[in-house]
Amino acid sequence: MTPELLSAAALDPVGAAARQPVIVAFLIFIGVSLLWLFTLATRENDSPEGLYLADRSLSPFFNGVAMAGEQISVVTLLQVCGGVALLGYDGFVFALDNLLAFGVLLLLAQKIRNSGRYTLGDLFSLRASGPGPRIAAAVVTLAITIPILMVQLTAAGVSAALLIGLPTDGAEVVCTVLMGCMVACFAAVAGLRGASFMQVAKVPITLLTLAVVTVLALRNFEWDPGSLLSAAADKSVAPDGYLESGLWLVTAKLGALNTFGNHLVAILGLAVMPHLILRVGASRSGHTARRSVRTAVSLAGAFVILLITTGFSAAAVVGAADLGAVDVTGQSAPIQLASELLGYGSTGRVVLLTVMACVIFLAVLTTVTSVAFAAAVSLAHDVFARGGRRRSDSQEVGALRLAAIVVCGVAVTLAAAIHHYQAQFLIAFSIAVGASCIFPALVYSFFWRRFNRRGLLWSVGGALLLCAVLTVFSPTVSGTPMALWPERNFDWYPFQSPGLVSVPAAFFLGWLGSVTSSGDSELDFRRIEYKLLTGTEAGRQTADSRR
Amino acid sequence: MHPHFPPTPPGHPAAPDIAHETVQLQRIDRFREATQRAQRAFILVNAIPFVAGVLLSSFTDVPAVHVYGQLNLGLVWGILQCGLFLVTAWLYENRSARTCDPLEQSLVSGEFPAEGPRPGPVDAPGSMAVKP
Repeated sequence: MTPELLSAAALDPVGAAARQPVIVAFLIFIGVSLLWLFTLATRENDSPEGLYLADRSLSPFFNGVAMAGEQISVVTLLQVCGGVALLGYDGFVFALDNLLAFGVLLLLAQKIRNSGRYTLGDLFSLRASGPGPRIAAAVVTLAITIPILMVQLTAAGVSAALLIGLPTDGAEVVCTVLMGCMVACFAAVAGLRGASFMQVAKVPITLLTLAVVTVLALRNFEWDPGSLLSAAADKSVAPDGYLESGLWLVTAKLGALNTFGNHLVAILGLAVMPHLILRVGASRSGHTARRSVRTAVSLAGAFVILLITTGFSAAAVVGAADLGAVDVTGQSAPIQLASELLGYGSTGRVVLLTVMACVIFLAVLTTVTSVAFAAAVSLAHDVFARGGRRRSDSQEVGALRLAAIVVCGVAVTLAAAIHHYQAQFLIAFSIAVGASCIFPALVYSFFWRRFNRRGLLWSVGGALLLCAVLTVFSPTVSGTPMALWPERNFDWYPFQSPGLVSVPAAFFLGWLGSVTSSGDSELDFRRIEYKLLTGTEAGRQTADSRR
Repeated sequence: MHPHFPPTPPGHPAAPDIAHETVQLQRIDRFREATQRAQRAFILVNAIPFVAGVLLSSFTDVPAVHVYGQLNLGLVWGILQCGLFLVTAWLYENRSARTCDPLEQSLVSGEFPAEGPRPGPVDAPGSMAVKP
């Protein structure tokens, strides 16, 4: 953000020697991806469920690995790593949230799969009929996915520009747009099966690369983790407070309740993202969904631990000053770490940098594709296919492809438009919407027998409105140095995450709406509970044969 | 395909045999109990250290206590939490597979003994609405 303060060396961690291989790797990567895309495109697969869910044929282990891959997004990879490197303990605790979120998913997965539903619209209409819940679900899905896509694409553009050695605004926007176009193609063509293969390929490569980087960093410190940690603390902005809470000044100033709310909302929100729900819905059965999540938990555990060690290594090897110089949020930490571990000019350094670049490109491609795909499925399945007239399968598939391109187009346009602004509030908003619109609705739908249509609509609508309003008046939008408009001051809402208010409000509104409405859902709930417990309908064949 | 649920059936799904129905209801209760017990244990074991950790680091300086070298209590707590989570996730899945899945099996197989000759797909929804 403050490039004029910096020397050219700090801005260009890749260096001239490694530039060419990195660019070549990038081009090869794009070429291979496109080739593979064409092979996918030529394969005829026109049933919607085949496209959305890979016909529920993925094995539990494979699906679990892919589920872990969903969590390895470019934002976690770069921002969490940078957070650990710059903020020490505070970043470390937030890295753990990414793991704990899978605990919530572990508890909900079997019921989500047993319900036989895989989009938010389907899940919301479990206890409420009519088009209202589906429209609400589509709006919530877009409110979550578009901001995530914007932030991920921006991060992708910035790191791609850094890797090819053009860290200027223009180049970053061009990279963002290019990445967005590629993702749009993938989301429109690949389907869940193709996306799964990419995810499964990404997980081991990412884990291995992070492990290698950590081991190399440890070697620099004579295999002594203690001295690595000391070096990380010494080179940080506050050597004494690095391994204690409070380094994240914006958060620390807002008090303990804010910190607590951030953690809780992150855990609840990250667990119920639409692309994870789609992935759980693609399991073969309730048990396999649970088993897949456990596989994902193990891999995500390894990923988070490696992410933390990579972050500390980056702080120790590169130092906070240089990390902050390239990017204030430390997003370039993995790249800078890879560039400084081995001697300049050595082949190993070039290889390491190239591999790191590929990991980042792969993370962009896979997670952004998944998120865009989930949004497109929601639009095609909840809005288009249920909109009054019956639609044929090929029409629905066509709608899916169109929706994928439109969603990506909107996200890319917005990402390019807000490129000059701090957009961290978007992530806070998405996660809060997930935690306050999806989580309470799911909990009520699955566990409370009196929940009904009015309760659902009040809960979802109220929470969405609260999230939007509170985000606008929160310190992430104005009043703090990292805000969207740092110089303005209309931040009367004292917490960073709107979830601290909107999650309890969603539970309250859901209760209030259900209690005040007269619908008797007792008998209905018995039938639904049977379905949620066993995955089969009481008295008829499974809902899977609905199609 | 249909946007609406079929109307609420007037009675519990076709099971004229009252004794059989009672057994099924008991099975559902036992199954629900078993699932909830496993889930409650998993939530409690993970939530208590998490909440304690966040509260301690927010309100006190306890996490800054040095344990060994550069490691302080906050870091050790986080690492232990991470390990605890991974272990309990495995145990939860094992427990569910051992205790809950057999219950589910007995429930499904006991519900309609004559599941083989299923009704035609056309009148499948209709079978829900059999008048008692």
